Amino acid sequence: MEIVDATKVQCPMPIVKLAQAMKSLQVGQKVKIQAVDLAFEADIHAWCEQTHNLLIEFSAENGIFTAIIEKQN
Amino acid sequence: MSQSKKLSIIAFSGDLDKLMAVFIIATGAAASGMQVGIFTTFWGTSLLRKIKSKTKKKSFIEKIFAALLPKGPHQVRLSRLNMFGIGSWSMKYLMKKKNIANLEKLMQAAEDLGVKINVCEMSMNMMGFQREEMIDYKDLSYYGIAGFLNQARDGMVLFI
Repeated sequence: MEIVDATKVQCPMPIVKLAQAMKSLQVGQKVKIQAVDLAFEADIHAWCEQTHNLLIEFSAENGIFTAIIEKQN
Repeated sequence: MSQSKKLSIIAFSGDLDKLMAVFIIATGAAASGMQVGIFTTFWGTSLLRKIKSKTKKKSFIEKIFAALLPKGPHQVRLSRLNMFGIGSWSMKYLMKKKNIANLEKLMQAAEDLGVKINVCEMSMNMMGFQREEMIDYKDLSYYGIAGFLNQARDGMVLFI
């Protein structure tokens, strides 16, 4: 699974990095992204809704958010 | 499906803070699958000037405009608390410390994500800016009002 490290960037770069990573994926493939931006939790839900991708898993641990997204289109 | 998949941002201001907002919104929207166009006009046009360029002859007033207005993302200043550059410098320092993308990085991200930049011909003409002075940006073109209206139709529009 492709991993996107967005722990050293702030809004809007986590979703920018994610969008760039998604381009190289096929439908059904997954990507894991980690971020520390406090808006990330709200943003990742909104982003998945907006881009019609599937948020499979979301967790927060020690200030690091981890999301796994499956490409749908 | 969301109502609007097209975003047009009019970048009127040439201030660092407002241009940050322009490019944060533009990159965020492009990353969310929207088709994004930035339309620079008036002071916003200054952002797109290269530091060094060869130009055709300019009139006296055009030379003054060229000298007093900022060139590129390094030279734009905050709209408030600039304090002769100390404020802008401090802000850039804080942004770097807190891993916040600066204007140069945001412009690079915008280019990578296919954000279109359109430059107002009339502003360029008025301030004496020439095409040779504009930065290298993949999707840069020049527009008039009809072109803007056509692009902006049925989409979201922001004026910054």
